[in-house]
Amino acid sequence: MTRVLSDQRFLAIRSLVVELSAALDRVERHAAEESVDLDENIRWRLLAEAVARLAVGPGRVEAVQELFSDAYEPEWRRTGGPELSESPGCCGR
Amino acid sequence: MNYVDPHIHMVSRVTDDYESLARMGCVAVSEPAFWAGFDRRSADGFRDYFRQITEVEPRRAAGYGIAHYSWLCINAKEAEDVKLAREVIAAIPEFLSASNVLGIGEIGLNKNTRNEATVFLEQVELAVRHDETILIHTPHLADKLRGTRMILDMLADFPTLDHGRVVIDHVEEHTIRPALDAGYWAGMTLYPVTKCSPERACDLVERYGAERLLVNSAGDWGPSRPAAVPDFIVAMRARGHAEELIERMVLDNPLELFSRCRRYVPPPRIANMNTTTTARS
Repeated sequence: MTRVLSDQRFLAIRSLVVELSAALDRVERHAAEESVDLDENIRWRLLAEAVARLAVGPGRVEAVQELFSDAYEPEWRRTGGPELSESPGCCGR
Repeated sequence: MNYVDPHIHMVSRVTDDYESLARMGCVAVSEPAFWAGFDRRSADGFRDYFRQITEVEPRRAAGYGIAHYSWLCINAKEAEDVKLAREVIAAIPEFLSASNVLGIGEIGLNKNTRNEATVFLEQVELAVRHDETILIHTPHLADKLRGTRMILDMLADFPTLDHGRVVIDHVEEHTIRPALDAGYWAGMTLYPVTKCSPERACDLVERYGAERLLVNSAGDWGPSRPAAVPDFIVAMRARGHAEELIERMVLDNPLELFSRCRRYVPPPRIANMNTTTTARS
């Protein structure tokens, strides 16, 4: 087996996919238990969009990184820039 | 393989970590000034901290044959108090004559606020005024892309700045290209959750080459791996990369960056090695 998809590499990626699958199932299960509407949750929508971007390559990682990033404003100095970042991907300090 | 970790906060690690680093082949570390986990309340608090990383840490490191270098600054997380920040900036030159101080760092942005940008600019001015190398922290997670672009915008205000003496640290896939294209060094930080991994760092070396590229652990008081650089070495070997390329990434490149500091003195173990090699030939 070439290095492209060797046993070791395949198993590592398979593990990541299984973990991701389990994590998403976990969120939906907990949402159902707590009667939370995930469709109203912007983080959930971000995650769903990120998963969709995995299907198209190359450039997946840049696409996902940019999806989770605050937008850059070229005129930030003229407009004063943000006081604080409040994006859904933001996680406190 | 001998290696250097060019970004690790040893002040927050126990001495056992120095022993582990030594056993894994570490010959030198460089330690940027950073957030202690709480906001310090006075410039004297920072003076004490600067003494700790320029005097105490080098002694601890030397016990394990590791050379310790440091960078000085007020970090982005404590930059909201601009008045205090300016007092700290005024104090930094008191420590710049030490031979183990490499420059100003890790300055940067955290939440990309106006006050952070103000303090960042004033520290770049300090660095230019004192002819210092600069190590820059780019923000975490959602803030990274915007903050990195803002940092590059601000650096462009300094036409005399030597880009070969500036490190844009904590780059990831969406920020590495603008840093390298502008001629800066780019640091890949192997840190759980918020930054890069050994495999992704290997990917970036394969895609962008080894020039002006660094790898580090940024090990600190949070969950982090001081062994991150050896992890990278193992990952590169697993992919079949040449020892020369790996050594360039983990030893030659960081030492080349350090040599851009006019006070730089090579790690004793490296200097002794070169002397022995010369004597034998």
